[in-house]
Amino acid sequence: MAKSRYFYCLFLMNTLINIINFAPRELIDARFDGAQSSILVAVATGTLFIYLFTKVINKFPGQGLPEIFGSALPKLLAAPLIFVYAVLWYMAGALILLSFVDITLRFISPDTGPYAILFGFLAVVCLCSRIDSLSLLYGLEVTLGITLPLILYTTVKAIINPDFSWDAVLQVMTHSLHAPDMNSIAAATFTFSGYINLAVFNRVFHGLKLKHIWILSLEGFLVLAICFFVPIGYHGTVGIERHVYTWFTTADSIRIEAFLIERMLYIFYFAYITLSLVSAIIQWHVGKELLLSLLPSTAKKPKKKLRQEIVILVLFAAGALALMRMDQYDLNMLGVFLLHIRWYGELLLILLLFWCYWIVRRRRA
Amino acid sequence: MRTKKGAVFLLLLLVCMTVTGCNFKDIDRRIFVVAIGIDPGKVEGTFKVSLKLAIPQGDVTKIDEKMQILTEESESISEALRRMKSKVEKELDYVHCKSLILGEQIAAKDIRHVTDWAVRRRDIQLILNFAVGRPGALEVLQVKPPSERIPSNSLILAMSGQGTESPFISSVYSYQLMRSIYENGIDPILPIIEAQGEEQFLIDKIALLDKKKIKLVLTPDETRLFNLLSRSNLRTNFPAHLGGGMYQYYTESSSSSYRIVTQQEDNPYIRYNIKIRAILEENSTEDMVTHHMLKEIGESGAAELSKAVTALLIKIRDSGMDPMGWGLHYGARHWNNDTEMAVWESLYPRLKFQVKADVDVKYSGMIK
Amino acid sequence: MSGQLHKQGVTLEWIRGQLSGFGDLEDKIMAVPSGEVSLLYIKSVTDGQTISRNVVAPFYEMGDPAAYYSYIADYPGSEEVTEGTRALDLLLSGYACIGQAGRLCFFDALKAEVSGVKETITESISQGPSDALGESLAVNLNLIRRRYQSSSLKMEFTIIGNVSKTKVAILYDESRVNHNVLAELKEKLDSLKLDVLQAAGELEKYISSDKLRIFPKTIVTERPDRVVFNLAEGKVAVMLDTTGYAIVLPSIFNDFFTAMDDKIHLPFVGRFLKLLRILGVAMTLWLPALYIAFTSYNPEIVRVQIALLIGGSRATVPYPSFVEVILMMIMMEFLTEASLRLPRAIGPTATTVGGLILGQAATAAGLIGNIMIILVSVVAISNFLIPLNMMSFSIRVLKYFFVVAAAVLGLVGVVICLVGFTMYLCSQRSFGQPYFKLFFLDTLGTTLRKKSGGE
Repeated sequence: MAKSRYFYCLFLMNTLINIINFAPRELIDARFDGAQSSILVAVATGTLFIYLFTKVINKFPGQGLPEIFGSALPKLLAAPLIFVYAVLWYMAGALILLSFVDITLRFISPDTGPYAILFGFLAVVCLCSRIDSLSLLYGLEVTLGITLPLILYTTVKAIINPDFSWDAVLQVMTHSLHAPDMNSIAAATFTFSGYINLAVFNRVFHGLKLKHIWILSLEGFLVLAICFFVPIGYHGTVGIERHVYTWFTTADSIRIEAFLIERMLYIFYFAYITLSLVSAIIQWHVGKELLLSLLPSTAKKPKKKLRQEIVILVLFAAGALALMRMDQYDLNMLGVFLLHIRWYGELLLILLLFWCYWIVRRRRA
Repeated sequence: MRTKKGAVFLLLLLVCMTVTGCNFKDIDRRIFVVAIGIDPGKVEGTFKVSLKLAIPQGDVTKIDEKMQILTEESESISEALRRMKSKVEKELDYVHCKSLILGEQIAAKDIRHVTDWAVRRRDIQLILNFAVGRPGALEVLQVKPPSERIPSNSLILAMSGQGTESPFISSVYSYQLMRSIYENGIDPILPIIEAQGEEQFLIDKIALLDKKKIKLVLTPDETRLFNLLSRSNLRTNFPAHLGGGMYQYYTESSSSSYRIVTQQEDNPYIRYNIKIRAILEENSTEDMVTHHMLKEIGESGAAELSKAVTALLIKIRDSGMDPMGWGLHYGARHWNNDTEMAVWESLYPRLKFQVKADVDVKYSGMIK
Repeated sequence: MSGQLHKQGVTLEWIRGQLSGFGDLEDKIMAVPSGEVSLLYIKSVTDGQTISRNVVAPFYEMGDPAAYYSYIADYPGSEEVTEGTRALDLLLSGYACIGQAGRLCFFDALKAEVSGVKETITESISQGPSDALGESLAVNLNLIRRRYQSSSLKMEFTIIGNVSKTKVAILYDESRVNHNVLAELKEKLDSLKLDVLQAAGELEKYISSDKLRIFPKTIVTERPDRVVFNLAEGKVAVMLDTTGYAIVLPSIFNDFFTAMDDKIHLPFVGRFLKLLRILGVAMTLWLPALYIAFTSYNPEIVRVQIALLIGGSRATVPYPSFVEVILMMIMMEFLTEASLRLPRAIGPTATTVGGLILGQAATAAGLIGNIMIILVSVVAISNFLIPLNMMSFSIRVLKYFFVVAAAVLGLVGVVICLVGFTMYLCSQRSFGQPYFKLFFLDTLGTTLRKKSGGE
């Protein structure tokens, strides 16, 4: 039984993770055509989604998506749906890993082979995604405890730098009178989609009590604003579009004067690789649990469950290896594609849950 | 069962160890490139790339700097670097490269190629100091001050402001250069390093560039004023003349701000506000300094300062460049995004300046 | 006792028959004019003084066998026995048998070889109580009772070990303990099938189910005040006779970093010390790994001046950094182990020879970089900051995982290892309690705070 605090952890993880790759890139690509208004729209819809989702999932205390679908929907409908969602979660985790392999190769170890790094990532992610949900939440909290101060430090240090060009930021602000743009909304709402992991983690929440949803929207808004404006302050309104990993190049532009380490990049990298490994673990855990629910039950047969888990995780790892063949642009395309699909997926999931609730209540009545 | 597990574990360990071999490159098998110099080659269109290498030394207690300079000419920078690999026995490592010196002839032609290369390469950091070397990059690299223990450390310290806090030095990182090359409404600047013989260099000038090449070089005095306007808390001294005497005051804190005023279409101007808190440092007369005199020194200093600053600003305006980023500042405060830059272009040559300096000399020093 | 069990009417003759061949058996007849009494006991387990003072002397003073017998039978701790096996057990455990007119009474004359209450050795602190648990259960229980004078402190006894018959006491505060934990512990103790149980650490190993574990899940301590502190937090203590250590469970990660002086110090000092310990663990775990990562994979991370220093110090070293680190760390382990085994008088010599001379010579010979020597000393010393030995050993082993990870993947390897171990720690449970969390107060200690808040 987990405290509601862990829900905020799940949310926070997602908001922080979105800085890595796709979200800032999509937003910055649209910086002259509506990224700013998209952020506002995303904050509104994201908060609405959280509110609706937590409301409806609260009606099923201690139940994950498989249990809810299993009790309310015909098996023929439930199974493919769960499968599709499992693939979505798997892809989200895999994309984080692949992005980080790419980032590691660019910024940290150009000499190490990409497959060696990926194997390292896969080893820890596969092993850890077998851990039970509650422990993963504890682990997530600890990771946030380590990384959050570092991320805050980076952010504060970035903003108080005298070479930070506030004029560039203001210049982009004056471009905000544009209609929102779908790509940017999809990218920005990803910030808010941490709640969706409840699909499995709801099993350990009994009666989630959410106070102050406005904190979530405020936090999401701040993170989005920082993730969008800070790179612009460093690389200019025009120059920014030439950078691939905007936030990592931004961190590379910050110097720490008095420390063993001079380049902020490494502190930022350390914080983010830790966080993204944990987030990949959590995504794959959800994916694995969803797939497990499709396989024959293994209650009280730990050996059999272990075998099933191994098969699933080996498939996951093989998939990630296969995806390694993509280059920078393919990866980006896939990421953006996934951002869109994920958004519709969330919408569908909320509708499905309401439908399930309606069915269950009618049945009870 | 247990032995089997152990065997598997050992096997894994062995596999790991073999994987290690190929990428494992110890620090003593690398040579760190601490500075890169780029000059034009003998043949038109080629580069002469020079690398300053730091060789780790065994006994750190001895002041015994070992450094080596490699030079190679080629039509591309990458090609020159690859060729230099076969001139040393260890792997060249650029991750600790801290300064990139552009030869003056390169800077006079086009800097964008080199900038693009420096930012694009993944192992070269974005907090790399860019500077123009005079007479050439190689000559600057060859300077070896006697106080230096780690190769090129003096250059690093001077440029990064960790060591000397000279008011004449302004450092430009590669991300800043990249930003101002592509940004609308701001033009890049670069500090100039002059090699003076084998053991000394001089950094006291700034070159103003028009996105591409050097257009104007500021004198040391102008450089100091430029720095006063572009950053806060510049530690320097300025003169003030009062009666027949000359006084020098040391700036304890300084700040500057500006406003672009374009309410009247025909008379746009920029209003600069400079605030300085100072200590009296030098007095050429034998007079005791009184409170009243202190005020007067401040006033006359402020008048002299504002005159000098106005002259500098007019010089910059007449050159047509915008190193301060006034254009961007203007754009950031106007919402007519499609036309604002064109409006600014037409405004800029007509721009006037009002400089309001405020020098507050607080103390007379240790004696009156 | 094969075949014919003496259900009743056990006689001295039968006992004598059973104990024939016991060299240390005393069999005396004490006689006065009005009658006689038999006295039977095993010398090695009984206290001669107790016998002469409490058994022999009163007999001759009273002079009446019947009155004397009732005096002995009424003596606290004495027992009248009619059953043969019980009689034998009592004799073997240090009772003296007094027989008069066919009746048998057993008098408690147990001799305990108590070495007295000693000072703590493995968990020393600067201020605060310095009593250590001794080897006798009775003394230990006495030490605890004296510090925890509450009627809710319960003690339950069981015996483990077919041969050693080790007396085991389970201590807990009834009003604070988590009963699930207690039940789980009892179940585990009951299911133990052992011949010999001699040390607390041994029991610790048997009651933790996980075979391949790196972190201790129960505290083994020699400090009575730590036991008391933990009892008050609602934990269970297990004590063994014949060993000077108690086991405290459930113990979570944080407990291993709490020294008993933390309570004594001023709040800020205590916090600072705790922070120091965490920093020490971080150093001892990561420094060797980071050294490998920085020298072999990512020299770009440290600033150029430091990179050149490391490079300079390694200039003469003929093998890769990984080998250098492993070599030096193994050497350090040798030293630690050696100084542990050596007599106290020679210990410092070993340290000096090993640490100073070897290190100096190795750097002078160019086999090891200077920086490596500093690093190894820091690693070794910071490891000893951990107040509890069990954890300090775990950390000592754990750092090799990080070293190997760093040798394979550099900084990335260290991070992967860190994430892996964080997750592993979080997945662990000590008797159902989460082993590792960001806010430990959530789980344990709340019982205590709730209690004191409610009162």
